[in-house]
Amino acid sequence: MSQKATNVIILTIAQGVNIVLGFLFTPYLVRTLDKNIYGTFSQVNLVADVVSLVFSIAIIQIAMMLFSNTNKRFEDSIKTVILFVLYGGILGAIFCIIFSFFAPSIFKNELLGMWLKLFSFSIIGSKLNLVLNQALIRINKTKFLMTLSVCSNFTKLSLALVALKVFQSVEMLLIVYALEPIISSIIQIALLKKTQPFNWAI
Amino acid sequence: MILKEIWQIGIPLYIVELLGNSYTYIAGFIISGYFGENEYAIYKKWKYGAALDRDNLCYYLNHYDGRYDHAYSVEKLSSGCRK
Repeated sequence: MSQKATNVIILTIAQGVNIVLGFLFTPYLVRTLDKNIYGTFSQVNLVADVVSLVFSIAIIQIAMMLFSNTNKRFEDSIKTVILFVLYGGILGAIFCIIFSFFAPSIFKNELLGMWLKLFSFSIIGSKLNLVLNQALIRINKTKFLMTLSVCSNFTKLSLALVALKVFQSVEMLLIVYALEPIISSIIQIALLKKTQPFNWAI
Repeated sequence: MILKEIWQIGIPLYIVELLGNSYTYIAGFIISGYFGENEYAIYKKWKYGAALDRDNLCYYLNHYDGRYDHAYSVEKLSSGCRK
């Protein structure tokens, strides 16, 4: 079997496992949280998703195109893309914090302000994680990517379960959800640094 | 050079991405902004297949205005709901 076919199969398995994990956890979340709490949690996710989309400027597709172009130096491409995502993420997080002061009156929901502030830093990690996935695929580290993706998702959901069952805290759940892509990105950058011995100073 | 390329490729892709996702986000903003977090929770629960929770199903059917076909099949499951 060719390397490309193996990579596709590995990534499909990883995606499948993550979908199953999410499919098992979502009904639990829905039934555990009160209607208004689940609604507010969904609103926080909605706002963070929109802000992340607006500030990312289709960087995942751009990264995919740059990394698959063999005429481009991988070193230049990855540095530029990481810088771009980081700036976009930080701007998005700042915007989200500013928006959190107006959100309670716009959505008529007092809880939203505090939760948006807590969740705002997830915007930095969410797209960075996806861009680094593309970089790891480019250097043929799909097995590592599969293991990391499944393990981080499983850990996230386990911690989310602890946050809800033991601490009954949605704030803790939001922090777990926000931290997961950031920690995952740090591990991915560490591997990239180890395998790509170029000057990483930006 | 790469930055120039990012802008050249990025802007059309960005517009496509925004338009492609606009339905989900506009729907989300309208429902959660206009109707509030409770209605949005019902919308999300319904979407993720958790609507068979009896209380929510009854709530949905009691507020159902007859416009969507899929509700008819669900209605059969909820004969216990008081309309």
